[in-house]
Amino acid sequence: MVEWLIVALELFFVSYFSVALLFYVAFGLVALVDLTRCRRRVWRTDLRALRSGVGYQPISILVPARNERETIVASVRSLLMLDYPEFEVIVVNDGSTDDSLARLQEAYGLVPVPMAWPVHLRTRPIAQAYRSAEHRNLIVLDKVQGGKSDALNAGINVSQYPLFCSLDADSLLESDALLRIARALAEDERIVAAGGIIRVLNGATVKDGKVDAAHAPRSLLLLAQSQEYVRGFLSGRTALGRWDWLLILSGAFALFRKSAVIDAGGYRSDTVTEDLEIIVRLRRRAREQRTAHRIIFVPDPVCWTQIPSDLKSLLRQRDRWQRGLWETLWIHRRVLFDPRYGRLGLGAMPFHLFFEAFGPTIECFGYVVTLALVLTGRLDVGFALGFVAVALASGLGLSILALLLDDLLFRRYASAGDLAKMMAGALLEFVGYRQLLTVQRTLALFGLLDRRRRWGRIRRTAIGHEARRTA
Amino acid sequence: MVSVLYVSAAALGAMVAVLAIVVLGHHVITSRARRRFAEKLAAVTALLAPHVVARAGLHDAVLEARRVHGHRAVATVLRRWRSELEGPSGFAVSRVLVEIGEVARLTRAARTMRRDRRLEAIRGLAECGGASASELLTFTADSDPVAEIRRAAREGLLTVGSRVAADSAVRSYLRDVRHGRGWRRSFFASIAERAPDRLRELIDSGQLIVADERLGLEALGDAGDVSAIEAARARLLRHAPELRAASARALGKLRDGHSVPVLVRLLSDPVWYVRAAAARALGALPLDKSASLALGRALRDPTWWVRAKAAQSLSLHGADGVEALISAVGGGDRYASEMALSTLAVLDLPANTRRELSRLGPLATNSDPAGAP
Repeated sequence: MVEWLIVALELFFVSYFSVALLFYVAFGLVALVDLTRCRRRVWRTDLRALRSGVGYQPISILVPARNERETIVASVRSLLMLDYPEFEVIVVNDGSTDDSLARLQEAYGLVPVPMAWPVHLRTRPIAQAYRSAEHRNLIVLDKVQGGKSDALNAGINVSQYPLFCSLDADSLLESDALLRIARALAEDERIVAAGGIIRVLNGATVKDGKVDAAHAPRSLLLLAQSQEYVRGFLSGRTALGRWDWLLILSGAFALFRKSAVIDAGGYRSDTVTEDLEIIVRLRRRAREQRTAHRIIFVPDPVCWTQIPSDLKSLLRQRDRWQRGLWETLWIHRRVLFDPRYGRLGLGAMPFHLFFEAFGPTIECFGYVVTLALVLTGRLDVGFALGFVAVALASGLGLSILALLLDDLLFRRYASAGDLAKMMAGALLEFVGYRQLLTVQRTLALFGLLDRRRRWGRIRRTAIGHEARRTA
Repeated sequence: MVSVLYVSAAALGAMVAVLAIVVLGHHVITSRARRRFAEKLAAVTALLAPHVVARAGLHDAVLEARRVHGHRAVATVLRRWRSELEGPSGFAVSRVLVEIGEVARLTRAARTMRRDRRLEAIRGLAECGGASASELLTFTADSDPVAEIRRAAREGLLTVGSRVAADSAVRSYLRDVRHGRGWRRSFFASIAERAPDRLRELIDSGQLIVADERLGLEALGDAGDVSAIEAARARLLRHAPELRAASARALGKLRDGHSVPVLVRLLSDPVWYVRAAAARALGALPLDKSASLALGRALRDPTWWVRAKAAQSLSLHGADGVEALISAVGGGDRYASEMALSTLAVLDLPANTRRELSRLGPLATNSDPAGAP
């Protein structure tokens, strides 16, 4: 009986692993083809046309900020220097307890102004609005704390343009990022949201609010995360976008059609991953109302963001992501396997349920079973070693394929040394790092029961030329 | 089973190792090549730029640059310049691109069956401009099976600068847009910049749907084509509100002072976004007292957007506008008062006006008036 059970478990793990591997290999190959094509689709003539101020759509950039004293001034400075014909920057200070607001006031000559705006979405009260005397397109809202979703909703109410871009306060946009991402929405009315690529700021050299040179981070933790970002965005998002399976555009940098988000009711405050939930809701509503819609990933507009540099912050972040995934899948559970929702119900949601939500739990279960077999002396050592070797080699292969794509098409790391470090990061990712995150993501399931566990704080460092040193 | 796993792992491991070596090797080799090419581009730019600016001796300088730095670097620099330059300088660069054989090279390359190579070649030809490639571009814009390539050819035809080429581009666009493949905004942006006369004719021809007519008008406004004023004025009282709003926006951008009375009338339009567009357009135009008063009344419009645009526009009209905003502050209408205060707060007002205002409402003072715009 026990032998049969062991064989059944072995079969289950091998089958699950094989199907998951097939998906991820397919992602890599689809990304290879799609990114090569996408690279060609971007023509400097198009960017020139937008830059010239003919035929563009103005954009409101929304920056929710809570206790971002280290990064907020530099971040806003880089936004004000963006290369785009018409935009406004709306910083929403979401009840910061540090001196973020005072720093902004000092740096940009903010003056309090009485403001009236249309209330499309209900939010916590805004205590005071400020405008900059030096930069006419900068607005700062000082708001009672209500969370990131609430801050974004307040920003949407105040914004005056038809497109808005959600951006994290610790991020830096490349100067032409808005041009590149807005191009897609300008040309295709069906596109309601577009996301750009997120790259790791830690380790990069920043000069005058712009990333001067990208380097592989020095710490092992950052290196493994950087590698994960490259693979996740270049391979995963590209392929999911190609199949119309996208369920998330990173909240750190995404562009939306404001009317679509307002019609959908804005961001929800009862989930910890509002960026994931809003995309699922936009897609769901579009299917229910039978309106043409597209949500796309655009690989060439770049947003540089800080990632957690200490283990505690990283574990908190991943715990939140996993809880948010479960929450969103639960909120929209009716969509699962429902053919009326097309690819959303039959492709995107099931994939995320089986491989992103259940994946860590199944992997953790595998570790427990292996340990039990070791302790009872029933482990087939040869099989276990072979299985681990195949998993390691295939995972490494996919990571290096993503690095190849990145290097061929975007060439962000100037030195071969940085590229070699990133490859080392790919190896490290599978030794310890992945297992740690798997356990944390499994534990996140229990966190769902505790409603008090919300965002959690990530330690930030100042953006500036010392960014290289702090990485 | 176990041996299959070991063999798979060994094979995968070997592939990964080879892939890693290839990635690193490729990086080293291509980085060097890219660096050298960038140096060549910089050198060619420095060598040719004075001749393009002076429009003299370009041909000889190009021959010399080709001899020293090679054809590719010279052609790349010239094509980039051509896509930025208009008028005689642009045509001079086009001529040189023909003379050095770049147009002939790209024409040959465009005959390939491989769509990526063909796209690259047609884009290259589009950047070259000039009449010599127009026949191929016309053929491509009409009949290439790939929409992206047809679009690149259209862009090229608009760069050529002739009436026939612009007609071909329009014909190709009208055919594509029927199938939802027009890249509408970029087409109107290009044609408004390069062939505004043809765009005006197209708008007047009635061949465009309302949404395209709107985009066309806005593009002409953005491009600053003052001869589009008549077309825009003619649409100010059209049935479609999108057209009324687009016309108002265009007239504001074209700074057509004669349209003020009609724009003032549009402040009472039943559709809010037409009123908002009219209010915004009036901000760019010279206003008499009655027009300022009409904008002041728009501060009490039931729609927030109209109030906001009216306040912004008034703030651009010096003493008269400020006076209208101040009277709105004390006017008893809460919305108009807040909007006016919000706008006044960031203006560089004289100290006595500020004092007067602070008695009327909670107006903040700018701590550093010298730094105000």
